[in-house]
Amino acid sequence: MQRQITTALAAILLLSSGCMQLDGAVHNARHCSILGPEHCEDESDEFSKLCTPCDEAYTWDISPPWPSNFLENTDLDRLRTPANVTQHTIKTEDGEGELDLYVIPSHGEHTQTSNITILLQHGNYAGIEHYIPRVLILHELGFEVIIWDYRGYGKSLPDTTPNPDQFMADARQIRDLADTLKNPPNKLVIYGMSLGALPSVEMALHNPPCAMVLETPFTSFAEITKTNTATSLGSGFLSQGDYENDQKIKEYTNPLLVFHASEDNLFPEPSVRKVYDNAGSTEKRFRIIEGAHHGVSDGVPETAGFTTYSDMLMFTLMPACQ
Amino acid sequence: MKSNQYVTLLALCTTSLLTACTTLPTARPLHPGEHQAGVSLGGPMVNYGGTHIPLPNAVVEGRSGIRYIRLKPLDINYGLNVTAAAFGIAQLHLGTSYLLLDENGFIPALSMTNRLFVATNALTPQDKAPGTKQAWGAHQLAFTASYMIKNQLIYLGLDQYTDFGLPQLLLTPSLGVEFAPGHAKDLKFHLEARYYAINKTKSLDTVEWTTHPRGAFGFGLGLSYTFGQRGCSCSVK
Repeated sequence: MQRQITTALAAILLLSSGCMQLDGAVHNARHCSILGPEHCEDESDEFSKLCTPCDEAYTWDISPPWPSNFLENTDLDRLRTPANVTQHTIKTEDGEGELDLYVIPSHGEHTQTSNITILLQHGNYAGIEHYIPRVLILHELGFEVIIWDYRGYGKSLPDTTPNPDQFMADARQIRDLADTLKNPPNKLVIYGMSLGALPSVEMALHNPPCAMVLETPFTSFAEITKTNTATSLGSGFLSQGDYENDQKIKEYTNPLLVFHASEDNLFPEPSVRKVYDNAGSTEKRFRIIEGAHHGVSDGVPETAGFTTYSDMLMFTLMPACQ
Repeated sequence: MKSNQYVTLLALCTTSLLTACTTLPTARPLHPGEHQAGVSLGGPMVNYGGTHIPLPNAVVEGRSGIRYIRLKPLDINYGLNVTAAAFGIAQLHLGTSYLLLDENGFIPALSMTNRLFVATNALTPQDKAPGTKQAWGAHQLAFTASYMIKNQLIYLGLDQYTDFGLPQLLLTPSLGVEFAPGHAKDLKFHLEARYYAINKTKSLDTVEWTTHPRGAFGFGLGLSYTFGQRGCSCSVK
């Protein structure tokens, strides 16, 4: 009997040394190499159309179907088209990836914002093409914008998504690189949308910006598990534990702005507020956008309206990054 | 933004690996001297991009009759979640089942099961972020009514799972059948439908269970073999 028990315990220990992790399950990328009619002409949602194959350049001259009141209180008919966009291919430090990155210069007409560069980490669905409307908003506000695709997203290589170590290493590399790519005197703001909050917080801890903006941010596996499965299972059970943003952000002390969409179907207010509350920043603001959803078509700026979104952004960024 | 699938796998596995697994039926506790060994497979179903996926959650377990209390059998049950082990999680359960009422005409037999689930990732040799070697525990209280019809068992259960870290009412009804094919009375199969946390609704759709937004519906099946010297059968018809 003792031998049987010993054998059983040994078997448990052996099985418990398994190496499966589910961190990779967070990604919802669309690589340019897999795009077909179902992503473009057959896609009914204009904001979700993905039509740019790998060998064609993105079209920045677009006019998305904004919500009807989006441009209220402005004299704009449409948002201006960025000019002189430069594309960069960044070899990753491990030599296994090539990241597609764009620098969208400021149009220079707003002196308050033209000396600020926003390093934008997009959300989880698709790639840069899906987030061009957001780039247009930030560009219209006068910022210089840098946006990049994670491995497996858009035109970045390889066509497979990164593991947590690669994801975080790429974030640190891009953060440092941004200092050399931006307009030299500019201050840098890190802006993370949804999943983009993961690389954003990593960047901010690695090389602090003048301010960080998190929009409907990824909270943590532990929070997601709790709110979706009614269990209290810790984050370390099925992941490496690198994606616990609500814990990591404790080390961040510079100014912070967090946007929460009241209709966010992925990250509820208590979870997002935990990210905000845990941040080590003394200058921080939490903004709830009533009626906003998670995403780019009816998300935070689209629902708040161009002017209100602009005011909220400036309120935090102006004192912090001038 | 089409992003509602992206943590589905993580969260579904999280749940399925723990309380939301299928275990051997405990509708009829074993008599002293009887033992049962078996394997069960199943768990809740999730809607993953329009496809409804049952969960590959395998549990190897055993049951042993240990004594009578007031002429009713009490057994213990114990198991190891094999799927969880593949994720570096040692997840075990240990519990007891007791026959409260004998079947009598239209009155079904009634059993009560108390079961403790414990899990830890502390044994995994993997590099983890600081503070992520953890433990977890939950209690299951189940009442199961059953009829034995021509040596085939039909049962209806109601369970409450209490996660020690997040205690709340999580009621889970189930309906199942255990049958012995042919003349092999010791070899039994069971099929079970289970509606996990039927009283819970959620507005979030990070994880979209098949019955979203209310609870999670699931299926399970299993195979067991009963052996050992059977004791008195005076309390079970």
